Order: sequence, then C-alpha cells, then structure tokens
Amino acid sequence: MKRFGMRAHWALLLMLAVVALMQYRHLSSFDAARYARVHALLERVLRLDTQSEEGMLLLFNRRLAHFDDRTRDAAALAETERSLEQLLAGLQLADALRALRASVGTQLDAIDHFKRDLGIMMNSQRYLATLVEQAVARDGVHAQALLRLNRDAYQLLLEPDNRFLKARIERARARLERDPALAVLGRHVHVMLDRLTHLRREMDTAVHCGTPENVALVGKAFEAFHARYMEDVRRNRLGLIALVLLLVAYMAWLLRHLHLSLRARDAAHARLQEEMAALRDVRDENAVLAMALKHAAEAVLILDESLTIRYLNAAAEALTGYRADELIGRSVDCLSGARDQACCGDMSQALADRDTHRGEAALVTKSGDGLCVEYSIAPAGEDGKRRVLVFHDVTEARERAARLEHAQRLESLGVLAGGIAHDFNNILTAVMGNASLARRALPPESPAHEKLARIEQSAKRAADLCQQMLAYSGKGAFVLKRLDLSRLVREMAMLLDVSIGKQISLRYRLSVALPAIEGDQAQLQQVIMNLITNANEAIGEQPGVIALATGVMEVDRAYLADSIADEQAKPGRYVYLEVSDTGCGMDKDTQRQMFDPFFTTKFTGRGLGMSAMLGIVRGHHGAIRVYSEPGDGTTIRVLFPALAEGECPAITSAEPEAPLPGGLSGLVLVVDDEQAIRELACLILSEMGFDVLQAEDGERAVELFRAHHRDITGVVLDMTMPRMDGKTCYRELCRIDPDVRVILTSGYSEEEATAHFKGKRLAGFIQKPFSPDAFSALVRVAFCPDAS
Amino acid sequence: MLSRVWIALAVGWLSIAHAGAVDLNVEPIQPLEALPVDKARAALGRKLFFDTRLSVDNSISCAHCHDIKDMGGADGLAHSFGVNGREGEANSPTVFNAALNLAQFWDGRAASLEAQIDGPVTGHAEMANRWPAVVARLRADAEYRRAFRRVFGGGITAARIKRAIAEFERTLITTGARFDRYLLGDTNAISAEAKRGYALFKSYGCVACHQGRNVGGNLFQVLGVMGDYFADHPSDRAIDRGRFNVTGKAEDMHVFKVPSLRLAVLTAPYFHDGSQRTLAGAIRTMARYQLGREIPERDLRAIIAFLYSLVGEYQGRSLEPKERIWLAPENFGRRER
Repeated sequence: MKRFGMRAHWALLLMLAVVALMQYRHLSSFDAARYARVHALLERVLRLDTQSEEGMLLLFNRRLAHFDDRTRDAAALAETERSLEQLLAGLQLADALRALRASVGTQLDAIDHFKRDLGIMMNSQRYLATLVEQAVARDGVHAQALLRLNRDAYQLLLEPDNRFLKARIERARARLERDPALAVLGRHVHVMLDRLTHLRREMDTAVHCGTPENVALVGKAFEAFHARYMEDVRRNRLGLIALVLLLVAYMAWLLRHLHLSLRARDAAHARLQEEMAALRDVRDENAVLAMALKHAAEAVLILDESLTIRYLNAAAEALTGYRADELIGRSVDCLSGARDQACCGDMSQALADRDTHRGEAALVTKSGDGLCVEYSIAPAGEDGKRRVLVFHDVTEARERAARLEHAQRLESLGVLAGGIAHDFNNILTAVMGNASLARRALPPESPAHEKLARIEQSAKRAADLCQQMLAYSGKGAFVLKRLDLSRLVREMAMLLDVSIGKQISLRYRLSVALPAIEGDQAQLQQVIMNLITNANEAIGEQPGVIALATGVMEVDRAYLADSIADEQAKPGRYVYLEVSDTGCGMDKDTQRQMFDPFFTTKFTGRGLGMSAMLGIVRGHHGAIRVYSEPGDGTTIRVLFPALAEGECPAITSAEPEAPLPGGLSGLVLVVDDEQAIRELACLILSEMGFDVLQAEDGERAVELFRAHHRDITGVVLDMTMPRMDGKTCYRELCRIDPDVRVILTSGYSEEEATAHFKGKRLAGFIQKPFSPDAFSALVRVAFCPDAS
Repeated sequence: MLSRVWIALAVGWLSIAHAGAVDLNVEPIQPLEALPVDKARAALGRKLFFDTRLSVDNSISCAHCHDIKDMGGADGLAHSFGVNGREGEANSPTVFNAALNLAQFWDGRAASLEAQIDGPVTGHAEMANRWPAVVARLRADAEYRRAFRRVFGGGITAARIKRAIAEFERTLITTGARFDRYLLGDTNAISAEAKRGYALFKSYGCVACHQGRNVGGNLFQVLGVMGDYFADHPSDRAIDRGRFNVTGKAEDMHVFKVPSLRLAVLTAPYFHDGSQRTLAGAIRTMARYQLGREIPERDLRAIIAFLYSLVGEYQGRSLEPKERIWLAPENFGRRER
C-alpha cells in the first residue's frame, strides 16, 4: 500500500473512531432519569400550586395565622420551576416553559401581594370593631349605622364576594365620612374594602393563573419531545452499532491488507537481501579488480564518451607524473605529445575509432618529457561508450632497440670493413711482397727501382688504411704491453703540443700512481692523438682549453650500460683518460653518429678516426663516454680495464723488420686459399733455401702432410680457408705429428687469431699483410731456431 | 351555617387575650427549630466568617457588621461602615436567624444566604474586595486548602466559600427563647407582662406582618400603609426605594422586607436606615404608619416586655440582655419622629 494511501486509511479510521466515540458519548449522556425527574417536578409544581391556593384560602379564612408555609411553598415553587427550566433547557420546549414561568411568576406575585394585603385588611377589620366601640361610646349619634357597619364588616369576612354587602358598607362609609370625627374609621373601612378587593383578585389570579394548564402543556410537550428523543436515541443506538460494525469491518479489512502488504514486503525484502548479497559480491569483486588495477604495472586510464579521463591507476600516475586529481576531468589529449623519433602513430586516431586498438604513441608527462608508450584501447561499459586505455612505457625498450640496431649496423659495417680489409691485406701482401722482391732483384740504379719503391709505399699506405679499418672492426694488430697511461698521454701531448694552436692551452691532471693497463702502445697513442686532434679542431681559432686527465674509477654495470662499451666489458676497476675541450660541442645527432665509419663533420675528413678509436677501445675491452653540449664543449672519457698487480700481458708477437738471411734448407708446407699469397710465400721461402709444398685448403694440406710429414720442417697455415679452416687443419696436423711447427698467418690480429690456439704450441704468428723480411725472420726463428 | 359559627368562635377566641394553653396551630408566631446543617462545612464557614482576609485590606470580616458575640448579630450602628471607614446607607440586619428569611437585604435582592455574601465582599463601602483576590488569598493558606479539600473534596472556589459561610449562618438559629418555651407549653416561661404584650401585639395587628417562626422576615410590605412615611421623611436615597430597586415595579416602591423581631431588643437602631434609635420610637412609628394607631406607653411597655422574651440562645448561652434598657425611661421619650 502506498504510504499516502495508508495515511488516508488511518485518517479515515481515526475519523470513524472519533465519530463512533462521539456518538457513544452522546448516547451515554442519555439521562434515563430525566423523564422521571421531569414528571416529578411537574407534579411538584402542581402540588405546590394547589397548596398555595389552599393556603391562601386557609389564611383568608383565618385558619392559618402566619405566612411561613406560604413563603416556603412559594420558594419551593420558584425553585421547582427553575429546576424544570434547567432540566428542559435546549429541548425546544421554550414556549411551554415560558408560559409556565409566566404563570408561576404571576402566581408568586399574587401570593406576595396577598401576604401584604391580608394583614392590612385584617388589621383594619379588627380595628374597626374598636373604632366603632369608641365612636359609639363617644356620642351615640351614628351608633346604629356604626354597629351595622361593624356587623357588615364581619359578615363580609364570611361572604367576601357579597357585592350587596360591599355596596352597603361603602354607602355607610360615604355617609360616615362626612363626620370628621369618624375620619379614621372611614379610612379603615376604605382600606378594608380596598384590600379585600385586592385579596379576592389575588386569590383569583392564583387560582386562574393557568399554572396547571401550563404544567399540562409542558408535560405534553415534554412527552412529545421524549418520544422523539427516545426514537432518536434508538436510531442513534442502531447507528452506533452500525458504525462500530463498519469500523470493525474496516479495521479487519485494513489488517488483512496490511498483512498482505507485509507479506509482500517480506518477499520484497528477501529479494532485496539476495540482490544486496549479489551486489556485495559484485562490489567485492569490483574492489578486488580495482585493487588489481591499482597495483597493475601497466598504466590504465578509463575514459568516458567524450574522452575525458575518469579514472587512472597508480601506475598511470607514476608514468605520467600527474596525480589522479590533476588528470581526472581533463581530456586525454593533454597527455598526447609529439616525439621526433622512435614512436610513431597518434593515439587520437585510435581513440576516435570504436574498435579495440593496439599501437604505439607519444605521451607527454607532467614535466614535459616525451615518452613512447605501447597502448591498447578497448571500448568498455554496458553501452560501449567508455574507453579503457592501457599502456606501458616502451621508450627505453625502443631506445635500446634503436641502439641495438645501431650497434648491429656498426657491427655489420665492421664486419664488412674487416672482410674487405682482410681481402685487401691478402692482395696487398702479394703486391708489397712482389714489389719488394722485384726491387731487391733489380740493380739499384735501375729506373724501375724508384717506381717499385713507390709501389711499395703506396701499398704500405693502403695497408695502413686497411689496418685502420681492421682496427675499427677490432681486429687490428696488437702488441700487448703493460702501459702507464699517464706517461703515454704526457709523451703524446708533448709531441702534439706543436700542432696545437697557440691560443689553446693544455691542462694536465694526470694521476701519478695510475695502475697499469694492458694495451697496444701504438694503438693507444693513436687514440690519444685522435682525441687531442679532435679537441683542437673543435676549439678552432678561439682561445680555449684542452684538459687532459687520468685516473682510476670503479665502474658498475649501469655505468657500462650507459657508455659505449665492448660487450665483454665487466664491472670493476678501470683507468680512465678524460679529454675535455671548450670547443663547439656536438649536438645529439652528431653524438649518435660520431663513431659511425665514414662519418665526419670535417670538410677534409675521412671519418674513420673515431670509429677506429672505438674499435681500439673495444679491442682493449674498454668503454667510452661522451659528454657534449653544443657551444659548451665536449668531454670524452675513455676507460680501460686496470690490470691487477702482477698480471702479465699476453704473448708478444713478432719483432718488426729484420734482414733476410739465407742458407737454410727444409720442406715447408704453405697453406693458404689465396694463390698470390701462396706464390709470394713460395718465393720468399725458395730464396731462403726451402722447398715448398702448396695447399689451397685444409683438406689438401692434411693430405700432403700425411704424405710428407717426415720431411716437412714446418707449416705456414692460414686461418680462414674454405673446406677446412686453420684451426681444424692444425688439429689434424697435430694428430699426424704432434711436434709439427706451425706458423699461423691471418688478416686478423694476433690475439684474435691465437685466441683459438691457446694451449697449443704455435711456432709463431704473422699478420697479413706481412713484409718478406718479417716473414723470413719469423720462419728462421720458428723452423730453425738453432740456426739463428 | 355550622361552619360559620365555628369560624366565628375561632375568630372570637383569637381576638381575646388568653392566658391559658397555647394552640400552636392557630398562633401566628411559631417556635424556632434548628436547621439541619453539615457540621464540617459550618465549621469551615465559621472560620471564614471571622476571617478578615475576605476584605481588600484584611481589616474587615463578616463579624465586623454581624457581631454574634455582643451585638446580637448586628453592629449597633445606624449605618454600617466598611474598609477605610466608608459608611454605607443601610442598617445591618442581624445575622441570627437570617437563614429563615425569605430573602436577604432590605430590598430582598439576594434570594439566598449564599447570594447575600456577594454584597458585603464586593461592596465598595464594605469589604471592597474581588472574589479572585479572596480566593487567591485563601489559597495561599495551606490550612484552608486542606480544610476545603476535606470538606468539599476539592480546591477553594468562590462558590464553595459562600456555601461554607452560608452553612455556618444556618447554625445561627436562636432556639430556646422563653417565648418559644411558652408556645410549646411552658406557661411560666414568660411573665404576665410579656403575655399581655403578646396579646397586644396580636390585637394591635403587629402580627399582620411580624409573624411566623421568625416573627417577620417572610414577606415584603410597604413602609407607609396607613400613612405616607416617605412624604413625612423625604429622602432621595436609593435604599429608601426598597424593592423597587429590584423589581422596578411601581407597586414595589418603598416596599421592604419585613424584618425579624426575634432579636429586636439587641439590634438597635431600627429600620432600614437605622433612623429609629429606640425600640419604643420604632414601635410608635410602626403603629402610626403601618397600623394608623397610637399605642399608649403602658401597652408599649408590655409589647417591649414581650419582645424581650423572644430572644433565644446561641451555643447554650441566652442572648437575652440582663438590663432592660429599652424599658428605661430615657428610651421612652415621646419626641420620637
């Protein structure tokens, strides 16, 4: 039942109850005794009325001598009449009551006057006798008349209505009053007669005032009223019963209705409980989900239809740098930003569509930094109008990928360069070797001598270039020694001091007790030279400062990760060389490309300096760090692993140039896939007095060795060959003859090449391109050690 | 015929002074009987009757004008006075036997004892108070509160105060008068002079008005039956108009309530305005104007002697004075108006 409806019912119920109650009270005010009382009072009035008439008569006839009874009865009558009026007030008997009151009032007045008049009359009557006696005694003039008058007066008492008597008395009086002596007597007679008339009238009035009739009138009216009243009461009683029944029925109906509605309510309540339980579960789940969202590592944004941010989780806050309250209510556009590389794509387009989307986009954080994020957008909500945007930061990953790509590119370039250099070396070896041999074969005054010398020089220069390229690719010749970096720097600086501009000052902060590093002196010198030269050129014509510093530092993985380093570089103690200049500095793009081969900002540069330096540093298992701001100068820090005390460098390699002695004999197996090399080696060896066997690959070499190993003094083995490479071949050879003397040749650095031969007894190593002198010297040492 | 004879005999008998046994049935004066009263209520009423708190300045109680101790229920003054000595117009009637009067006040304006109490309490020249003030003052008294609760079962109201005082007044019936005893058969209760006085009282016709148990008080009568009293005593006082002030009817002009003569000998001065200083003077004036007769001194004495015998008892003590001052010669002067 609706609440309003219920109220109306209650109101109605209340009204009915009130009406019933009023009716009941009305009924209960029924005065059962009233009827009897009214009649008693009416009877009393009648009785009093009669009594007063009787009393008056008795008084008049001298049966009673005092008025106490009359007074009492009069008071009673007045009071009774008043009681009647009170009792019958408001019962519409006003007319009858008024009539009764009037008649009673008249009667009471009559009684009142009667009392007054009676005494007076009787007094005068009584006095008359005395007066008559006195008058007669005085002068018997009117004696007879007086006596008759006296007698008549007494007679009048007995016959008060006798008019004849009255008339005679009156006549007597009229006659007598002519006598002044009888004035008093006349007076009394007059009074007597007068009062008597009044008395008769009063008694008449009392009798005929109509009180009994009015009483009857009142009685009748009351009867009529009473009958109506009883009828009314009866009807009211019935009405009340009906009302009560109605009330009860209504209440019963109401109760039943209430009961039903209560039942319905209970059912609804139970349903509600269920729903609430379900809701609680959902809320619980929601809470769990919210918690999951909150602690998710990925940033989650929930957008509404108009792409306004409605929710963001903790990860989003962390990522974007905004607090939740700063972003909620703002459009998601405030986050999107441009980034000039790596990230592509715009989230806006993805947002505009309504499908699930994945992609990369640029984000701007609160501090203005740009981020690259990988995002996914999906519509959410019952109507699919809201969007859930999930993204995570891939900036670093992208950068790392970019760097990796870059490194890979560099590496591939290096491999390319190395490959080219390697082949070049072989060719140059042939050119240089043959030119050298040719020059030696010619007389000195020959005009071709000079030409051949130039050929040699050019070939040497080409070899240097190859060397640089190989150095870049990390495969240059290495002569490893214990070195003091500070000493090296000082030497180089003094040397380069001349070529540095006058306006530039050199500052040194070289650590004195620097730990030794293991490295190739020439290469390190090249590094230092490169650094100083670059610094010099960066400063240019202006006055500037080049600061050189060396020192020791502890390097951790993070530091190495942040620098350009060899993959095999380990955290630990490092010796560093730092070269700072106040030059023009480099921008970010230049910094990214500065180590790329053939990249240069100099007009006349080949762009190999820095790449070569990087190769050298890599080869030394070091790292480079570059700090540079355009206009602010550059600082380059080069790190090399510090040697622990007592560490010895790796094996030394061949000494440079030694004269070419002759007078040796033996059989040498030359293994090389390059014919030119083979021929050159053959020539050189033949000159030295050896016999030569040639093999173009490992397999052939093994065949030949198997056939002639007893005669073979030594083997010249190339590292890189098809079908069986140097390493495998050497293994095979060792299997055939464990004491075999092998000279390894390779385009790569010694260390590189001999890395695979550690533990095996190599007779020697020579890097291509080699000079014939160097080759022959090594052969001598390696194959004929007792002969040197 | 026979009835006439009987009547004549009865009448004759009535007019002859008789010293024999009294037949109460035919005597105009009846003996006093105590009224049935609620004793507790009467006691409370007595307390209130003597309580001066009924007056506005706590100076006057009912007993001030109706002294029941020494003054025969009146105050012995021509006009009573109220608070601050304000003098009224009326002579206080006695409170004794007032319960038997058909109305209260000289003009009968109060139909009951209860109604009468309004007059003095609120009268300007009397207690000059207001009922709410009276009620409040009595309510402040814990004893009254308790008494009213005991007697009426409720609180103090004006109606209850009146009922209590009226009930007390109903106890003030002076029963046991010598004359009453004479009426009831004790022929020696009064002196022969008094008996003669009674016979004269009847024969002169005084009993025309002064009859009943209260020797008056049960009818109204005009002052000036046989002579015009107010022509001889002109005045413009309201009180002289008598019942006319109540009914407004011309026939009620100069009509007054007939006073009771029971304690007449105690309540000088007489008449509504207290203009008659002596009893003899009052009787003479009455005789002249009401009866049209002159009463000789000898008869006056007898009547006065009779009047002395009417005084009854209160609380067991006779109120009849020892000294018959009204029989003293100085109170018999002929120079009464």
